[in-house]
Amino acid sequence: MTKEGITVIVVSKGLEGLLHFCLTALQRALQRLMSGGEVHRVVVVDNASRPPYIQDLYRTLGVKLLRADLPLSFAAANNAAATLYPNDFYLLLNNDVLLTEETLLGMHKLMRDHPQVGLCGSRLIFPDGSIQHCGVLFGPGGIGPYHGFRKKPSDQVSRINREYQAVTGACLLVRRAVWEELGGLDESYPFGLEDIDLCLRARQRGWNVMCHNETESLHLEAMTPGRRALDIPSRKLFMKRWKGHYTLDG
Amino acid sequence: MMVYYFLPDPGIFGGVKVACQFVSMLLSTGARAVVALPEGKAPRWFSATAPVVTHQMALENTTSSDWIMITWPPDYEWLKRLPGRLVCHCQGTDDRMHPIFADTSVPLLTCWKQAQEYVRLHFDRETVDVSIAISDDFFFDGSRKEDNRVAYMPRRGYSIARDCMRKVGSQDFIPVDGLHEQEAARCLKRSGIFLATAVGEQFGLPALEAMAAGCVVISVPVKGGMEYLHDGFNCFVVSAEEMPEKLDWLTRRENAATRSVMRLRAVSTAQRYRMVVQRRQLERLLRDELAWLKK
Repeated sequence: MTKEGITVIVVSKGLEGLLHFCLTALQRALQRLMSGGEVHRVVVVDNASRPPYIQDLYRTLGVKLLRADLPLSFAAANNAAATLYPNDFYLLLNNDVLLTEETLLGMHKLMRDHPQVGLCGSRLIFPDGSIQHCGVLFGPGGIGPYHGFRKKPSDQVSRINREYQAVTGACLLVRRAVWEELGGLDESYPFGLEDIDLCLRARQRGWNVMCHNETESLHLEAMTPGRRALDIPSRKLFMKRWKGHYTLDG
Repeated sequence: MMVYYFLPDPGIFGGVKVACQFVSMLLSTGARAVVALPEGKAPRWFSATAPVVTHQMALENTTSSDWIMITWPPDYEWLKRLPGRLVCHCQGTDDRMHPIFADTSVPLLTCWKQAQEYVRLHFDRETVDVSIAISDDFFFDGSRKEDNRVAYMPRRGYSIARDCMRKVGSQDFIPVDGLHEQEAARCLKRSGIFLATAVGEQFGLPALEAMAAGCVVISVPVKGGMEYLHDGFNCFVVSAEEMPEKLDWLTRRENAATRSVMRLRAVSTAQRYRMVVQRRQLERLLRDELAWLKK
């Protein structure tokens, strides 16, 4: 086991009931990781929720609450939390991801065993057991990045931990050295694809990006109202910056 | 420590694919490596996962502890002035490579035996054989094959292919040119015969890919490729002038059994060049003879 700590960052807007499920599952996953001595922190960034989250409720869960009165981009919210609560690893976690107990342990072990792995994603499934994420592939032309094997039954997709060009930021463990080398997420992105941008930049610096496929967690995907509308400008920016500069594997 | 593999162009040249595959394999073995291309434009004609950076980015970040990998001879003059340590991933043995072979400060990695022997004979130097691999897409998967389809690559040696067309009118001749690797693989898997017409070819990756795809290959003699081309066993090696005659003979009805046997032997030979085989070899080398590449 390790003494290295993780700062878990959950950027959340509204959906408090779902957030509590997320945090409960997270606490169990962190418990599995505890070996004594390490300092794990959980930070919830209240991204301009109406009404605001109530500090006392989160304090009892041992969660640090950061309040943004105006909506921040995903990148800005995560960067702010990482700056305030630095740690050996950062886990970016969506509020609609319910981790299974072994997931975090598996991801952390993978990174510990492979020091060249700078970022590690995780297999995520929809409630019907089909794949939401097990690695991001890149198609030709305007296709760009997309989730490989999406909607395929998870049982039919290999569980080998694999290297990818990118993985989703919905559940992403990042080594601090990578985070600092790259200056965190790029805040130019309105909301979306900054995670893929981070992975591609990390690989340009020689870091590996892997997806932990041995376990799977539930991801309800894009539950926050208004979230989808921000995808389009993010995608435009991503394609302007990266089209032609990634290799094709999908 | 990083490995920067410099390439001059992302176009359809076998060396580009081999370089990207090599970088991907280095990454999978835990090394830190990227491909450096002039504008940072990634090759679009084959599947790969190698990260790509611009020459400018590579130049700005290279330190004396990094490895600068070179394969294109004209790059040698300017790359040797960079602060990093040069290493050559040798994909040919023509005269332009001689200054690199003669520079004993540059370690040499070779992809096939002829190159290793050439360097030993002419420069009295040892190289590390890192082998070469072909994409899994090419391997014959039992899909429909048409015995009367003859594939060829018109880019090199088109006149030889044209002579074959004139001689053997009963076959469907399919040019393989400018295609994405997966389309080329589909085309080869469907073809019965492949004409390797590139005279003076170094290794002849297309011929090996065709063998993996279950084609009977008729090839002109090549340099490095003779390690997998065994005339009369898994292919036919003939001069350019003899190729039409050989094709005419091979396509006769009474030679159907010969074609079948040759195909099986060709696929069997190509198995030695699977990605997984090269990756295991590279892992072993990086623990031993090539350990310096990760330091």
